[in-house]
Amino acid sequence: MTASVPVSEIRSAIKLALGEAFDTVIGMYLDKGETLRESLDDLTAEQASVPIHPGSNSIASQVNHMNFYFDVMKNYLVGQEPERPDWSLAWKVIEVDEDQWSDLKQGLRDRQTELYGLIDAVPDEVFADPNFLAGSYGIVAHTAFHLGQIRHARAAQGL
Amino acid sequence: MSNDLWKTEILKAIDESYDGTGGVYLDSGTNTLEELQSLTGNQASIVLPGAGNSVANQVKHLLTTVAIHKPQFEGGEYPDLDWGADWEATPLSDDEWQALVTTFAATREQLKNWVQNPVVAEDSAYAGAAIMVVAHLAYHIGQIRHGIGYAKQA
Repeated sequence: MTASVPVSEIRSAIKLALGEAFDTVIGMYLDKGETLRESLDDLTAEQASVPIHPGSNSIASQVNHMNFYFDVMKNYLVGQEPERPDWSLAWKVIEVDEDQWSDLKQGLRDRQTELYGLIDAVPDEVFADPNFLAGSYGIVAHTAFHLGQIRHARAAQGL
Repeated sequence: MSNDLWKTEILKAIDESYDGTGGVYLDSGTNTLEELQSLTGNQASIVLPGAGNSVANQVKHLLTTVAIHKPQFEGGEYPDLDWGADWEATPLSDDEWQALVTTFAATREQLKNWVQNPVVAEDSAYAGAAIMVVAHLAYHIGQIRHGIGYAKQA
């Protein structure tokens, strides 16, 4: 047993876990066809606006929340202490029209690209910082959590 | 990287999945284990329309997955499991449900122990398995929390 795991291994595992959630299933924890891309791309704005149960949030809400979260975490990862975020804004969007829905999905894809770039670019010593590590795991877990809810919300609509 | 460091953050995420402590990915005060304990057997067995599964199904699935994690951290053969059985709609009594939750609660220490003290080599596969534990837990905790919300309204 080794005394330590190289940063490159942790970096790689985090990217694989994120990749699985976004668009590339390798069998870490999803079945084929369950990625965010496959879960969102075929939805209409109307379907994305349906609350999973009365008083609950919609798939559009989930995506808006994820985008908000990524923006907060991005600052955190690069060492900028974010101003206290108003998380209520993250759940503000419930219903969307087609343009808004398209923008939300594009926003998620843009943040995916940005996040990968950030993970690739940080030097090993930054990656080994507890805050960066916690933030990275947080993004993996938070993305998986909301993907799970999105899959549930789709299924509840018979999709 | 020091194993203590990267494992510590993984362990926090595992804890958070159960009782909300950890501050890694859930809203503060989110105690899933406590909410599971507060459900009746009937509530836990309610099938979410369309989704086709109940909170009890989700918990059973997480228990089965622990059997898959075992060879990842201890080595050995992967078990031949009947994944479909987890998703069968079987009404549970209050006692059966509480027993299931108790068994689920115990998996927290099992998972943490594996991450902290694996028998397998601490290589990329091991690091991937540890992160997979967190991602898989989080995915189903998301669905469980939906299920709890629905069961309490039904």
